[in-house]
Amino acid sequence: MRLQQVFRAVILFVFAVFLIQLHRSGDVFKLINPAYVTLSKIAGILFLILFVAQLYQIFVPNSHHYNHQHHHEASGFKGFISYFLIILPLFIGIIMPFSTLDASIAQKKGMMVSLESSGAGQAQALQQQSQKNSTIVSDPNPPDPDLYSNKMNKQQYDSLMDQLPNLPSVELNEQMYTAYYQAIHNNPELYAGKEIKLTGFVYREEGFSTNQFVLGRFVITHCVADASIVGFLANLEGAEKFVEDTWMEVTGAIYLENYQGNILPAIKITDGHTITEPQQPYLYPVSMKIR
Amino acid sequence: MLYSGGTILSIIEVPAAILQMNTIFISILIEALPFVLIGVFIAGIIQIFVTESHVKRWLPKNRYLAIVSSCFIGACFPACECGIVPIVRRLLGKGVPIYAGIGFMLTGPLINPMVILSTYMAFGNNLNMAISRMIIGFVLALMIAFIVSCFFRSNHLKIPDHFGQEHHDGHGHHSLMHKLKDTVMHAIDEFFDIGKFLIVGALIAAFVQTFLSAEVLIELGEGTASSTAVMMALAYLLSLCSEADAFIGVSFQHLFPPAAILSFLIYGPMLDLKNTMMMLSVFKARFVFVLLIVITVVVYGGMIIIQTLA
Repeated sequence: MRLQQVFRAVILFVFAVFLIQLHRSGDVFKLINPAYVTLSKIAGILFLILFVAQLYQIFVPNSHHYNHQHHHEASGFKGFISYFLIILPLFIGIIMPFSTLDASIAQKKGMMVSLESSGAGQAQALQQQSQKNSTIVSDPNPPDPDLYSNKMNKQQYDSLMDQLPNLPSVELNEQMYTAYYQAIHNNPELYAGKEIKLTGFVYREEGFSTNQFVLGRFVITHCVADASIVGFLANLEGAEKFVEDTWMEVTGAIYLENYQGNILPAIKITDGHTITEPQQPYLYPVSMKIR
Repeated sequence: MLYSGGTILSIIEVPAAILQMNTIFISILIEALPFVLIGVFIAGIIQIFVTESHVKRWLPKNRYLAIVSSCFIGACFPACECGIVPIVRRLLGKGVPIYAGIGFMLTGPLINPMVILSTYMAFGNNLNMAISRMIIGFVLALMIAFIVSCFFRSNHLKIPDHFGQEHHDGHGHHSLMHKLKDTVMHAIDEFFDIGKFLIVGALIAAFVQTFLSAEVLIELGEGTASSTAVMMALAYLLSLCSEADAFIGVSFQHLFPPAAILSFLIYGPMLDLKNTMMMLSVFKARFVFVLLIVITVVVYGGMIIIQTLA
């Protein structure tokens, strides 16, 4: 009984240390959106509070008699299993390195399906617009300003978005990637012919020609489990020498590609080179200062 | 230093897919832990400060009124599907009837300011989806709670007698300090009870995300009936937090009709892999199984009827 109490204290302490260490090392950014970092720090503090209370319980054992109800619960094999499960994430988290989501996950999530669906939606939206041309003046699905206004105010965002169609060359940086991506997918005709610069990882699917690949990114809303995919179909002579999951920085021109019956904005690459995986490989729907 | 940032095993060759799965697994936990810990603290507070007589006084005697008010309280209570399970357990232990507990558990994560705001933002500042999610979800939760009330009367807790009828109840002579300490001790018990189920749920969800192709599922979804079923299956398997699921739901917007997206947004917060596991820590397996069927049938049926009418 006493031993079990000590064991619980150790587990709570290791959970707290694990969380603190994740934050100190910056590994936490490989797991969750920076917007939720404070919440995760609170979890670390709560673990410390639980740990202190548990210590008190050990050193002043008869301060309370409430524990009788749990005698049967954590004894024998069942008890062993439940503690094993509790320790499992600590064990895995401590001994295994965290990896960045890669092309295999993109495939599981249906990369081309999500790229195609944005294209199909655009076609649908255009259709609706032409049908009700007299009534609908604005974009039926305007990109959301609030989504990005965490660190950027609405005026800044609006002026960036207003400039976009008039820019001769578009650079998809971390902050504006998702907003520009959405704008380009909503109105690909408007952007066809423009120069574009972006980074991403190489992803391929069956049925691609040797010159084709997708330059993709993951967008993290909350944690990497809810990652969704954005990216552009790209065309480059001799693209086959870039293996999947290679990170690249490319410059090219936007054109309209007919991919399996869907019109997609795609990129004809004029200049592309490999880069090391960025420190911050993920994009976040809410823009913010990172560290 | 206790450990060196998780690189010990990098010397040994571990398959990339396993590392991906582990990363997703730990990330689900890191995401869920703050909410679970806040949940167990609230559960501890309920355990020590709320008595059965409070519950009797506060909750309407009438079954229908109790269902409506529990769903309403859940809608006002900002919780997520991980945090709410320990709270519901304590409430049931304090004598809250099972149907009221279920009503509260269903609307808590589904309807709250954070979820509504994120749904509104994800769907391009369009209120339609957020409002439909709230209203239709609320009505379906009422129906589920009502069906539960017809079939189940006892609390169906796994360890019925240990919870609730605690000896501290009504011991007015305990000091506040003492009560606070008891609250924290109960929170610890709760964490160790619920924690293992959360961990198993997160592990299975991570496995599914790493090894099961959503693409295959998506391709099955043609037509109203099957696209709704596909979106509900995705909601169950992905086990997303209700504050983040709208951003995933929106990416299927042009693939499936709005009603299928809506069923994803309503079903996910009520039921998924992760919270099924957590419910198993609280309720008897048979009850969880029946509840799973009732929720699935009501949400699916409800969404199909809505699509036929619309």
